[in-house]
Amino acid sequence: MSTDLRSPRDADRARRADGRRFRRGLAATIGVLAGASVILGAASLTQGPKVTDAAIDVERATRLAGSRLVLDLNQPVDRVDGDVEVTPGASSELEIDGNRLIVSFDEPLPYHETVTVTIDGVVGTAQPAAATIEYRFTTADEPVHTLVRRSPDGRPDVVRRAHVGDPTPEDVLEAPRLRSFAHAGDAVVGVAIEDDDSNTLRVAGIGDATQTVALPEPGTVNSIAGSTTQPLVGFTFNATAAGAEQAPQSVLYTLDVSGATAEPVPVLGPDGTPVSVNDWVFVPGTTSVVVQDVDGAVFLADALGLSPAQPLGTHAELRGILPGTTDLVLADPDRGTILDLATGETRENLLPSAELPDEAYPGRVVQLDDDGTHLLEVLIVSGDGAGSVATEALLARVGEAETVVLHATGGDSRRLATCLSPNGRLVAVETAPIGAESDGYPGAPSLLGRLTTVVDVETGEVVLTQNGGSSDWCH
Amino acid sequence: MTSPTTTTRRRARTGARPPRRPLGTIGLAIGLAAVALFAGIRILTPEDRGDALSDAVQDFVTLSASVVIESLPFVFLGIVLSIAVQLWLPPDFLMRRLPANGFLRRAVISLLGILLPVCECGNVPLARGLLQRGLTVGESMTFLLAAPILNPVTIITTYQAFGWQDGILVWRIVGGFVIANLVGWVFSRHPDPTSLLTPAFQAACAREHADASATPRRGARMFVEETSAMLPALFVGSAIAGFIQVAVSRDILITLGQNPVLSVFALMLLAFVVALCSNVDAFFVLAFGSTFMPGAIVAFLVFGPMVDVKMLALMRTTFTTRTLVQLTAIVALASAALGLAVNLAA
Repeated sequence: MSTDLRSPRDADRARRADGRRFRRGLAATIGVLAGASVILGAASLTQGPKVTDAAIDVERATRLAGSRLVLDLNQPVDRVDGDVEVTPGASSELEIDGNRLIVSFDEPLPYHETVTVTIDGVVGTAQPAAATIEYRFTTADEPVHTLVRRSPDGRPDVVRRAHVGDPTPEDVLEAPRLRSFAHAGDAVVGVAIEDDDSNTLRVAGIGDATQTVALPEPGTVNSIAGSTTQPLVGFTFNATAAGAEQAPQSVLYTLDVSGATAEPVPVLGPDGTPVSVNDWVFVPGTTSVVVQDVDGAVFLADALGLSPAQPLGTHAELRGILPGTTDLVLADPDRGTILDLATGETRENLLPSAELPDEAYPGRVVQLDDDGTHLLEVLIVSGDGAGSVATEALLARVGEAETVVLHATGGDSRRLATCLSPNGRLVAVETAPIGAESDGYPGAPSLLGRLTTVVDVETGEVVLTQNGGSSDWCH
Repeated sequence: MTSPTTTTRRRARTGARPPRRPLGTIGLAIGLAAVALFAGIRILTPEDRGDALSDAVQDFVTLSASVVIESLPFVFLGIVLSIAVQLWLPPDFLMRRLPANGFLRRAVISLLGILLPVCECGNVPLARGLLQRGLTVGESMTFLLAAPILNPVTIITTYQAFGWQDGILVWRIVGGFVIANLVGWVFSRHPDPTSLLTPAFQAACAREHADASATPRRGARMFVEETSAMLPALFVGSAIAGFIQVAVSRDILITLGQNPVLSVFALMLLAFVVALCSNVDAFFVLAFGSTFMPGAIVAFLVFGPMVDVKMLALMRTTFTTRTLVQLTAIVALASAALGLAVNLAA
C-alpha cells in the first residue's frame, strides 16, 4: 500500500484528511436528507386532505335513492367551504363524520356510467390548506330481459338477456312455452305452460342446471315480479281446483332464490290468512311488499313473514313506488297521495298537466319523482277526412316546465307496454307490428314479432333494441 | 485505505483483550435459568392466580415473548449460516467473484439476501460471518440493511399484503436498495473502518483468523460464542420493544397518523418499537392501511427492517454506538424522505 512509502507524519496527515473527508461526506449526506425531508414535509402540508379509501355499492347505487359514497381521508375534516358536484348530474347531500366525507345521492344513479364526485374546499384539521377531493367510480350495468316466444315457429321459448352497457344478447332460460318471467339478482324465474295448460316455475341462474319448482297445486301464475334489491320473486297464484261457486283466489306467493331450492310461501294479510290480491309491488331495499286486495284494502307485509301485516287504508289504485324509494303512489277518484312507507307520512300528489294537442288521448301514467314528473302514454288519432283513421302511440315525459315526446311508434307498429327501469332513468317500450297475429297462449296471449326498445327518459335517446317483450321492468 | 482484515490482524498482534466468553456463557446460563424458573412458577401456580399480574405486565410479557419467539428461529438460522460461511467458504471466495468497482460491488452485495433469505435478526450474525470472510464494514452494512428487504420471502409477503397497490411493494424494494447502498457508500469512505467495530468483535475476528481449521470443535465454539453474543441482545431488545409498546399508546400513534407528515414519522416510530421481522411486517401494517397514507406505510416497511430496537441491540454486538447513531440517522432521514415523497405523489 502507498502508506508504506509515506513518512509517519505524511501518513498521519493523510489519515486526518481522510477523516475530515468522511465527516464532511457524512454531514453532507445527513444534511441533504434532512433538507429533502423538510422540503417534502412542507410541500405535503400545503396539499390539504387526500382520499385514502372509498366505498360505494355500485349496484345498490343504481337501485336505491340515498345510496352513500364514503370517502376516507387521511385526516379529520374541519370543514367544507365548497360544493359537491356530481357528473353526470345528480342531486346529493354531504355529511362530515370525522375523517370521512359521506355523499348521499338523492336518487338512483344511471347504469354503467362513470360518475365523478368533486368536493371543493375541503379543509382538514392537520393542514390549513383547502383541497379539492375527487373520486370516480363506474356504476353497475343493468340487465334487460325480454321473453321471446318462438313456439309458434316450433322452437322453445327463451328469456333473453342483454345489458345496458353491452347489447349482445344471451339466452338465459328456455322452456317449450313460457307465460312470463321475473329476475332477482342472477336468478331468472320463468312461468312455464305445461301441456295441460297448468303452470310450473323454472328457475335458472342458481347452479348450472335449470330447476323446476312445484306450485302448491295445479293452477296459473300471474303478475310475477322480482325484487330489485333482495333475492325474492313474487307472483299471484290462482288454483284451478277451486269450487265452481267460489271465485278462485289470487294469492300472493314469494319465492326465495338466494340459493338452495325453496318452496313458494304465501304472503299473509293483516288477519294472518292469505288474501285475494288485486295488485302488489315490492318495496325497494326491503323484504316488504305492498298488497292491495280485491276490496281495495292496502297493507304492508313482510315477504319472509318476519313481522305482521300493517293496514294502509283503502284506495282505488296502486300506482307503484317511486324509483329507488319507499314512496308509495296511491290514486283515488278525488285525489292522489304519496305515502312514505319508511316514516308513515303522506302528502298530496299533484301531477302537472301535459301540453297535448286536441286529437291526443292521454293514457297510463308512470310517475318518476315526487315533484309529479311522469311518463304519459298518449294515443294520437288523426283522420284524413275521407273516413280513414290513423293512430300513433306517443310516450311523453311531462314535467312542470315542459312536455317532451320520448318515443313514437310511427304508423307501422303499435305499443303494447311501457315499463320503467328500477332507477327510473330508462323506459322499455314494447311494440308489435300493425297486423301482427296473436300467439294464442292460453290465459296470456300476446302478439307475434314483439320488439322492446329501451329509451333514455331524459334525452329520448334509444339505448337498446331487443327482440321479445314482457320486460321484467313491467310489473 | 486499510482493510479491516489487516487491521484486525494488527490489533491482534498488539494484544487486544480476549473476548469475555465466560461472561456471555454465564449470561446464557442465567437466561436459561430464568426461563426455567418462570416455567416452573407457571406450572406450579394455580389457575385462579392467573389474574394477579396487571394487564400492563401481561401485555409486556406477551409482546416481548412474541418478538423473541418470532425472531429466534431466524437468529439460529443466521448463526448456522454464519458459521457455515466462516468454516467452509474459502476466504477469498466472495472477493474473487464480486465486481471490483465499489458501487457495483455493493449493488451485488445488497442482492445477496435473495440467496440467503433470513430476516434481519438472522442477518446480524450472518453479516458478522461475512465480515470475517473479507467484506468491508461498508459492504457488510449494505448487506445488513438490504437483505431483510431484498429477499424473496419479504417480497412475496409484501405482495400478498398489498399487491401493486399504491406502488408500496416497488417503493419498498427501491427504497431498501438505495438506502442500503447509500449507507454502504458513506461508510466505505471511512479512513479507519475497523474503528467502527466494537473491540470485542475485532478480537473475535482476530481469533478466527488465527484459527482457520474447519473442525467440529471450532464450529461448536463459534456457535456458543455467537449465541452468547446474540441471545442477550435479542432478549434485551425484545424487552425494550415490549416495554415501549405497553408505555406508548397506539391511539396516540393513530392520532398522529391522521396527519400526512406526522403519519410518516408515527409509523416509523411504530416500526422502531414493534420490532417485527421483515417477512411478517407487511401483514401487520396492512391493518393500518386504511388509516395511514401509502408513504407512511412505505416508510414503515423500509425503516423497520433496517433499524429497530431489537436490531440496534443486535448490531451493538458488532458496531460502536457512534456508528449506530450515524447509521440510524441516515436510514431514518432517508426513509422519512422516501415516505414523504410517496405521500406527495400519491
